Amino acid sequence: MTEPKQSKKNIRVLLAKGGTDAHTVGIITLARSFKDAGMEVIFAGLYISPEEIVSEAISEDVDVLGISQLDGNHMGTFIKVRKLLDEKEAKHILFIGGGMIPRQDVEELKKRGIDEVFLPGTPVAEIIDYIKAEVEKRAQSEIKSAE
Amino acid sequence: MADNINYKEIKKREEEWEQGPVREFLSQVPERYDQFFSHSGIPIKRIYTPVDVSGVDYLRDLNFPGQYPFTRGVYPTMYRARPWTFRPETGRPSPEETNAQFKNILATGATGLSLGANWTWMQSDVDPDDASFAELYGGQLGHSGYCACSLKDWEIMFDGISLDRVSTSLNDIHMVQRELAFYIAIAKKQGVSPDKLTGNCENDPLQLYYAIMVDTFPPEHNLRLFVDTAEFCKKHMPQWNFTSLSAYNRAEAGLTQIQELAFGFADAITYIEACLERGLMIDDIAPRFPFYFGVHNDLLENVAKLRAARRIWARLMRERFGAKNPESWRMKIHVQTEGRTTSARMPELNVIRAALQGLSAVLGGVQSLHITTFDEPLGTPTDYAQYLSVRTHQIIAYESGVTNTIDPLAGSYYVESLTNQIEEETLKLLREIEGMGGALGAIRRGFYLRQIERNVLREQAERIKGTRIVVEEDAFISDQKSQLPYQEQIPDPQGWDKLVKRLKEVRATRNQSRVNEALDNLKKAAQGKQNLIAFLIEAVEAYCTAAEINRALKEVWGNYNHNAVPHLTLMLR
Repeated sequence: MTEPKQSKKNIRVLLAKGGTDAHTVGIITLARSFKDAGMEVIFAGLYISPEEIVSEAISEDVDVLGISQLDGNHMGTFIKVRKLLDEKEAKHILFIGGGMIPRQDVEELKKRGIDEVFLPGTPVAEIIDYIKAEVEKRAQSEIKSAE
Repeated sequence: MADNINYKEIKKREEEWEQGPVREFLSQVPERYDQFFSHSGIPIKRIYTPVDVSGVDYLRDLNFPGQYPFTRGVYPTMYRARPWTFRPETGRPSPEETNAQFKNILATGATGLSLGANWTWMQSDVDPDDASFAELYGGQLGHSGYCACSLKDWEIMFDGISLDRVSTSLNDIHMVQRELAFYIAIAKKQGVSPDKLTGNCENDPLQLYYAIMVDTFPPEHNLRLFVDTAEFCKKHMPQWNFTSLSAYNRAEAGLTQIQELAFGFADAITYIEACLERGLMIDDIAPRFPFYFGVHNDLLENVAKLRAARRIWARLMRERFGAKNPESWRMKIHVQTEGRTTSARMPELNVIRAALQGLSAVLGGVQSLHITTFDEPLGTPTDYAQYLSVRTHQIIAYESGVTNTIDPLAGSYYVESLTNQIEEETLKLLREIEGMGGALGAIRRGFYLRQIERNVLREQAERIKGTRIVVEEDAFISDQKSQLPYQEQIPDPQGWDKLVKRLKEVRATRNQSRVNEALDNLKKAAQGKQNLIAFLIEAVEAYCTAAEINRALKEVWGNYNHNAVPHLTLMLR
């Protein structure tokens, strides 16, 4: 029998601003909406290096890491974070990003292992549904692999 | 408002009207909401009558355009003489692309330039040719804002643009003094002396601690840079506005119109007091102290805000600071239609939004306007979007008819009443901020940040509740596909390599001992009390790079830690 315990606990999310970006309206809105949707949200802050983001994600034992970046340097940050998550054996963390990101970069980022990228205009509910489904999926596959 | 109005009778009739026909109508068809609010959350009545403006004294509170307290406009003829300055924002990653954009925009009919600096480059203390820059930023500069590392890049950026014939707004918010030094150096190369330059610089560092949080120095050093700029411009650049108080950036972080005004004024007062402490006189600074506001969706509230802002400024300058020169009482206003009101779904709708907002700015009597391009939520402005933006200005200026008379909404019971209310609420919040030690106290306590967060969350909650609507996002969502030929503006793929190559050439050919000396002089001056602008000019003329200058000052002054101020983190835990 599978243990449903894993998927019942609150989803923990770490949100961070990436690079040198300080546009915070989006991340404030997301933080509150995630919280209202029953998630535990931690805000890492601004001007946090990829190393600091990943180490906080691991020490806070989050299920989801979300980085918002609108300064144009998302490629550098996101790919570095992906690399560090892999190196630190934190592949289980769902890694999503958002911001003013050109469509061609979105494809490239997804190819490089960023789980999902949300562009301006995405309804918040869509992001929440995505997170819930993905975290659930990961919990189930973890249980399966443990069996 | 007038002596022969029987307020008592009007009040009585209004009551009867509410109890009679209104009530009867409501019983059949209820109104859309129980209560109506302005964008800023001011409760809005069903109608306004002479009773609501009975306290207005025309000559004291409104007066004629160009006359104190300038509610109706700062000049006697306003747009009947000439329309506002059409100032679109420019700046693309490479100096070559920015230069082409300048020429394109001026040819379309823009009458001023506005230089948006590349966000990453502006804050960086390493140059793009440094290996650690590529490591930090992934070997690219992003898509927006100009990047001009040394005077060599500036020469390319302004090639063929005569600085004595264009008015420019410098927006390197991180350290606009450095940008001003580059601009002066280019002018000198063109044979234009600083006293011939017109425009402004966004010398407004207090915004960096809560509204647009770039990597920066601690506040006391930024305040010193502010005053240095004021002092330098007073002496050498009489036609130049040494600041442009960017209430817009504060509003964009998520503020109401009232918070935008109150925070803007509180910060302005802090700047002015710092200048006075240095020995400058109020009439030295106030005439060259323009404001840069945003206009949001609420058309009539925008008009009321701009009218109230002029009146508050005039009274502050004259009554509180004792300014004698009428120029000190005149608040000159640049407005940008707020980027955060644009939507990425159906971007063509943003053309309509911006036109209405632009109209509100003109009805509010601004001196300069930036109509945000429809592609604002998608990326850096494309040429086509900027073309539409300039044409929107021209349609308002030359087709709409609103420029034929001055301050056409004056005397509207609603607009006058809202103007009064915004003034009162702003002064109330301003007093609250002054009570906590002014801008610096509000920053230290995290007051500004918390107010921003609260308002962002309030707006979001209203959208969920359905009392605030963004068309095609919260309501009226259709399957219609955008048909605008929008193509992302992709930066020149060779731009980065060219920039790096040029930097290496500059390093190889510049006089290194002159560079070292200039940077040493700058650092020594930063430790002392001398005005830094001349040292910055010396440094850029020695072909020091922007990052070298930043690094030199950081070595002396250190960095400010944004995460030390309690804000979002606290609220969530």
